[in-house]
Amino acid sequence: MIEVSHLTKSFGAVKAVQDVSFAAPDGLITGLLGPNGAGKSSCMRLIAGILKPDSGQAVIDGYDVQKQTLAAQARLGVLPDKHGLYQRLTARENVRYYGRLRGLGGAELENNIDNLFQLLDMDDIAERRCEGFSTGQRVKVAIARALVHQPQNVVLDEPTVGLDVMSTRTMRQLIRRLRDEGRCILLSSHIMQEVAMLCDNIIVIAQGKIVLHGSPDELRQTTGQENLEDAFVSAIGTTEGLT
Amino acid sequence: MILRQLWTIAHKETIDNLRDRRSVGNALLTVLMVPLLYIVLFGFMNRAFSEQARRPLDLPVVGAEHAPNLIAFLAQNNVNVLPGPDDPETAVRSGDVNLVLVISADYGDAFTEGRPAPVRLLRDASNQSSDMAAARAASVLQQYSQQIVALRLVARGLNPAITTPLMVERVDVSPDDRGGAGFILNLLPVVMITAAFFGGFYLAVDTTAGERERDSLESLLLNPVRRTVVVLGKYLATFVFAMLGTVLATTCFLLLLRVPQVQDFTGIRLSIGNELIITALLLMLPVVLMAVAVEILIASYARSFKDAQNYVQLVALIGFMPAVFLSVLPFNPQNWMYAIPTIGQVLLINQAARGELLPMNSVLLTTAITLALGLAALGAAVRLYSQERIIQAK
Repeated sequence: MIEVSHLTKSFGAVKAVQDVSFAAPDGLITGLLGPNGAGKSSCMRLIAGILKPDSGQAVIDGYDVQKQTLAAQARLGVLPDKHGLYQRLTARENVRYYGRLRGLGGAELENNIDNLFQLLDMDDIAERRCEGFSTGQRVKVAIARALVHQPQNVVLDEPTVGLDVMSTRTMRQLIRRLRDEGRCILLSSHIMQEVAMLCDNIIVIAQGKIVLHGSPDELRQTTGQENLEDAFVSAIGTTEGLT
Repeated sequence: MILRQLWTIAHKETIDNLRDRRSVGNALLTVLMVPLLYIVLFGFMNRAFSEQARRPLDLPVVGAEHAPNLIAFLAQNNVNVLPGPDDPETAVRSGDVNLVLVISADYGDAFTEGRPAPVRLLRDASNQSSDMAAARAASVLQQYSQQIVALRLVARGLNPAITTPLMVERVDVSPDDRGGAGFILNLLPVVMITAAFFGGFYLAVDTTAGERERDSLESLLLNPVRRTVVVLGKYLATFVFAMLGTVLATTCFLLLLRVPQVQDFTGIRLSIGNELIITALLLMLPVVLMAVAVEILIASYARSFKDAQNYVQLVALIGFMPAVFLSVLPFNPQNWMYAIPTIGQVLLINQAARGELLPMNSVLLTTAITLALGLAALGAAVRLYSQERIIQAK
């Protein structure tokens, strides 16, 4: 369960996140939809404890991210927007490194890695060094290392960007599976169809503020639009930055 | 848990770096080339020096016909008398010859009458290669002069010893066989400090600025690991490489000097004990600790990998320059010098190499200040990693 209340963050004159409050409950997929530069990534970094908010707080399973950072981070798995890998390590070594940092080891860790590699259909690259991986392969390694400790809460920043059709399908299956396991999923995207298709709850964010929040049905009702796409457009006021 | 994380990070950085062939190769080359270079360079210098002393001295003489006895004496004393140039002054100034002895026409008369007989030794003092020849020529002339004095005194029934009121005896008290050749040991601290600053150089940059530039730092910091542990893990890996480099360079340098073939080549014969290697390494340990901490701090501040490389290179240069200067400049160690990291160690290692007893106070002072500086740098690096700008600094 991820709860965010009155989260605010500025970089100089730029107000990246303004008074954002929402809750992402367990067993549901919550989507942050917004154009590029709307503040989605900043919001996720605040939740992940990488940035410090000017005011407001993020709470993960009851742990305040600012005050109990390590406990909150332990309950969280994050796919950040930049997923640099260690090029000279193999895919498995990359994932194993994070697993160890999270206190896993031995057969348990190797089992987790095997399961994830199977789910993500990446057994063929498991023992290869990451140098020269395609975008899809890199994202898969990054997602595997975010999930290696089987976190209750999963934050995914644009999880399907740059993926081909097959990889996108695999990723969506994985996200649904995580939800069905009762985990809390928060994902961000600038792709309307993806959010409409995947998410149980949608938060539309523009210029750092929440402009719309609800289930797909609720969004249609609030905006009076039959089509979700039209609902988003009427909420944001423009389609700029969305696809 | 914290120790496990520390070990995990240090282990990963070590493996990661070892797989980077180029950086490992570069580090090894830097660390091992320096001792080799010094030995080869110094060996050539030493050989050239001793050969020059043994070779007959070529001495162009103008007016040789005025002083046949002197010329005969010169020839007996390993001097090769050559006909002098027509214009001796120009010839010396232009560098055609290093040295010309000019015997004036007045020589014979002055000599017979017992007046000081004028001879002139022409040389260009700005031409350093003539130093040695001039000194040898002057010394031979002096010998001849003394011989004549002795003969004249004996002819007058006096003991020549009266012209030698002082008996100056030079005694070389430098321990055992460490005469002039012992100078090469002055280079020992230079070799060690170079390795201390360059051994971990690449890792310091790669694990900090490099990790940020490759976009893996943010992911790393998402893990529930204290930032102190992150910095310490990277520090530990870098330290291991820097220390390894220092040990390697030191033993390589000292062991090479023990090899008979190397001793034959360089003409330097030193007996170097294992205890010197160990003492020097122990003295140098705080320098390595400090060098790595400062390098990590500077590299973490830099905006990019490239910047970090430039800054850290500068730090390394500043780090070992004093050692280079101290190794060639003659000076007396002052107490305050021990308060400056790297300089203190250079002095102490030189003393250890000369077989002197180390002043304990100075050892403690140097070590404490060096360690304090290292700790301060490490603390600043941890602080930097605790700020959110560590992931934004690009």
